[in-house]
Amino acid sequence: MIGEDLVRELEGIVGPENVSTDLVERLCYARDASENRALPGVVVWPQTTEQVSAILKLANEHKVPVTPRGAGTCLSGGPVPIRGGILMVMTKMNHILDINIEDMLALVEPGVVWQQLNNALEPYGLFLPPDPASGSVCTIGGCVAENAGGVRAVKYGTFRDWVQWLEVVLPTGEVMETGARTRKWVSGYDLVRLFVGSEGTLGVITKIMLRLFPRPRHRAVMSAFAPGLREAGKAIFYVMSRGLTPSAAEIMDKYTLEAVSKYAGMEFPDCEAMLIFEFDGFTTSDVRARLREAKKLCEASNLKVKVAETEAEANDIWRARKSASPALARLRPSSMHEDATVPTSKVAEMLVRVREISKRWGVLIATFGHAGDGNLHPVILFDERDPDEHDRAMRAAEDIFKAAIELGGTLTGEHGIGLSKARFFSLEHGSVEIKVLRAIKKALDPNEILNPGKIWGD
Amino acid sequence: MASGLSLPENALREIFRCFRCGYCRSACPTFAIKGSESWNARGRLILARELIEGHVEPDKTILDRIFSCNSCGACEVVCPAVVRVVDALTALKSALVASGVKPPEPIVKIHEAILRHGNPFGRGQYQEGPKEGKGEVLLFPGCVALELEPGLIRAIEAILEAAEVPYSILEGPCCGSPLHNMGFKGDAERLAERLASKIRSSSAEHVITPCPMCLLALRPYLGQRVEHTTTFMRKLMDEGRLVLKRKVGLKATYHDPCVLGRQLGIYEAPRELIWQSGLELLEMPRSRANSACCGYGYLNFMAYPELAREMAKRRILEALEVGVDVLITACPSCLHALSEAAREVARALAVSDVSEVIAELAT
Ligand SMILES: Cc1cc2nc3c(=O)[nH]c(=O)nc-3n(C[C@H](O)[C@H](O)[C@H](O)COP(=O)(O)OP(=O)(O)OC[C@H]3O[C@@H](n4cnc5c(N)ncnc54)[C@H](O)[C@@H]3O)c2cc1C
Ligand code: SF4
Ligand code: SF4
Repeated sequence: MIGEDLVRELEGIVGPENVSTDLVERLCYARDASENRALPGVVVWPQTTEQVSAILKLANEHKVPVTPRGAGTCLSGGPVPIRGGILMVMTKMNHILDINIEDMLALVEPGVVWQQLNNALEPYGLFLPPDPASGSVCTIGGCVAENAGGVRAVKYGTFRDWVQWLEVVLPTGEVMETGARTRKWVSGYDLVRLFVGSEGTLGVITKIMLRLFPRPRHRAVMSAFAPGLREAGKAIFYVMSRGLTPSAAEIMDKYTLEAVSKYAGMEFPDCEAMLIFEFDGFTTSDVRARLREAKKLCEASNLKVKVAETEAEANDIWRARKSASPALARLRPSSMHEDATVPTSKVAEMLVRVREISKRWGVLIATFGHAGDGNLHPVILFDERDPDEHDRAMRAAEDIFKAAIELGGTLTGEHGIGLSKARFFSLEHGSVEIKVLRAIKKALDPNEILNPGKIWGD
Repeated sequence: MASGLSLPENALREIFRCFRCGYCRSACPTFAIKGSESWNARGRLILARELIEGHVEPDKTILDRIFSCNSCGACEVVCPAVVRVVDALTALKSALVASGVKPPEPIVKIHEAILRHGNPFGRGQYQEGPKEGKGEVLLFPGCVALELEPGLIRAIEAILEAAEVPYSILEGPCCGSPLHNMGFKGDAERLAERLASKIRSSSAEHVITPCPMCLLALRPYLGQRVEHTTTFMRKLMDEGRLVLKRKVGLKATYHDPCVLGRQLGIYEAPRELIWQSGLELLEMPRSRANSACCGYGYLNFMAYPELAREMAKRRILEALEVGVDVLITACPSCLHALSEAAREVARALAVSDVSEVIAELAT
């Protein structure tokens, strides 16, 4: 499908050392962290906006699909080149171009790794709040394209809330700048928000200006153990609705705790779920006061609260949460991480439904996640080499999506639709909305060459 | 399995447990140099799967990706699924070799040399019986120290003499660990068994080696009777038999050898020796379990010299960033790697094995 001529032309644009048609490379770039797999015809590593633009122009001429990729940590198949063609790896565009302390802005190339940026910000006492768990490796470009979130999203929001301005190469190869350096702006349509979360389907992001925030100096952490899922849900709802703005409001259900206790040798009181609240801020008194208030609310819902009195105790609480993934991964051969999200008031109901779904399909589902913003991570544990169990796991996933939508939620809070959830897209979105989405896509990408087959499928 | 590969169930389980999260991108030293996914743990495990499922033949490119993994284990520390990458890839190499696939040329040569000469350097046989009578300690220096870092052996001898510990030296045969890592499981086990039985016939109470890889190979056969020079020196000091006559007042950093740290869990003994020496110990950003591979382990510098040298150079640059006078390590391969690299990029930085530092101060 990829002709010799096209490969030569790509080599002319980025240099032969930045083009590979080797099967070994193509196999490794055929996958992300989801179940999807599709081989690209050729892998290219551009280093400048001009090169990205030239590649897209060429792809339009040849009508060859192009799929952008950052670190490939996507959990929904976004960077998997389902129609083959050119896989464009952005990791060589990895420079931090500017850190502006006065305006608290950073200008970066898309291949900069989240951790690399936060390390560079640390000496200035600044940080970029949205904190995907994959931050040690995922790229800022990938985070923008997926509208990534994380534990702190409950207070600070997702990437959507921190992108000020973008340089984007449109699918036709034209280069566009959009957004503003100022906190407020109403100058035209908000195209920045259109591109944030566009999953690499509308343009290739080549420069990103991010808003920064002063790094909070203090934090207070507590854990709370709920006798039932409904009590857990109530406690979360109360803490969130009193304006206590926790910087983390996490949950781990009984199954997750059992796994963590086996894996990390930790002990937990008998309970149906453990909650973790963290409060950050600039004075101890403020942070402590909010924590005390949250403690009262949890106790009123019959939860047993344990406040971390020392930094070591706080780290221990977080160690439990951070062990959730590895602990669950060792329970069964395969795992599927969903991120169905419901309104905060429906968290308890969703947890109960996930339990029912687990029973219905006879697969183990452990749930943890960002309870404060309703972004749960039910982890389906199974053996993908057992076709029957694999099938039941897929059906359970489908029921989880349906439950989230029924409760007024969304298919995905932070991992994106990609390929994995494209089948379910119309559960959440009406035909008029899908028509508008397609029209936008067509307007920007007349030949539908950029990351085709994603979000709404075909 | 179209390619006729047969892997044990526990290795298959590890390979399939990888859910391709990509976290190992932050740790894998070959990926840091090459920059493309196929040089990473994730890429290697994807390729393992493709090989097992018969989607691809084991050609030269794929074999390079698999065999260039130097079993440093850095990926395992960051892996949220706790995949035992080293075991999985070692089993894959073994399965490939067992199925009749020829490993990359340099590896074939190392294999032949070890089988023929009992050491990888092909310089005739090492002496296979203990030199110089009986003693409390049997010192097994390992091939790399014997061939490339003889100064290290002299230092250990000086320490044993200063502590008045009677000892003898056993030069060979090879412990087999490089062969194990290169997929020659059967040969490796035969060698380790042969060496262990030679050691068993000695009356020495302790068997010590400066080489973490030899130690790892011998542990299953000799248990705690075999130990690393650093833990043994530490004991000698505790017992008051080894006394330092002087102290040094320089700044040092310590490079944790992959196998000594991540595989054997020995992090403290070398550091305690450094503190005892009076050196001020400053840690590099990547230390202990997160230490960065020097590139030379398991004779990787003979199999993949360019990659190995680049890894060593990068480690030297990391040590320079910390601003120290001395870079200390506790493994003959690391010592050789870092000394070579320092000669190239940082002549002012002294590189020593912790035994060399202690020997200087004890005599
Ligand atoms: C273990 C694990 C934990 C995770 N935790 C979180 C979490 O806490 N929160 C969260 O939100 N996500 C999480 N993720 C998902 C994922 O890490 C994020 O979506 C991340 O932002 C993706 O970045 P990436 O560089 O890996 O992008 P990739 O996976 O390479 O790509 C993601 C999408 O972005 C597009 N893209 C990439 N670069 C560009 C560009 N320059 N221009 C245009 N499009 C581009 C791709 O086409 C693709 O559709 C997790 C993933 C894993 C495996
Ligand atoms: S960190 Fe572990 S699970 Fe993730 S890609 Fe690497 S080996 Fe696989
Ligand atoms: S053991 Fe080391 S070289 Fe091998 S894949 Fe893991 S990090 Fe890379």
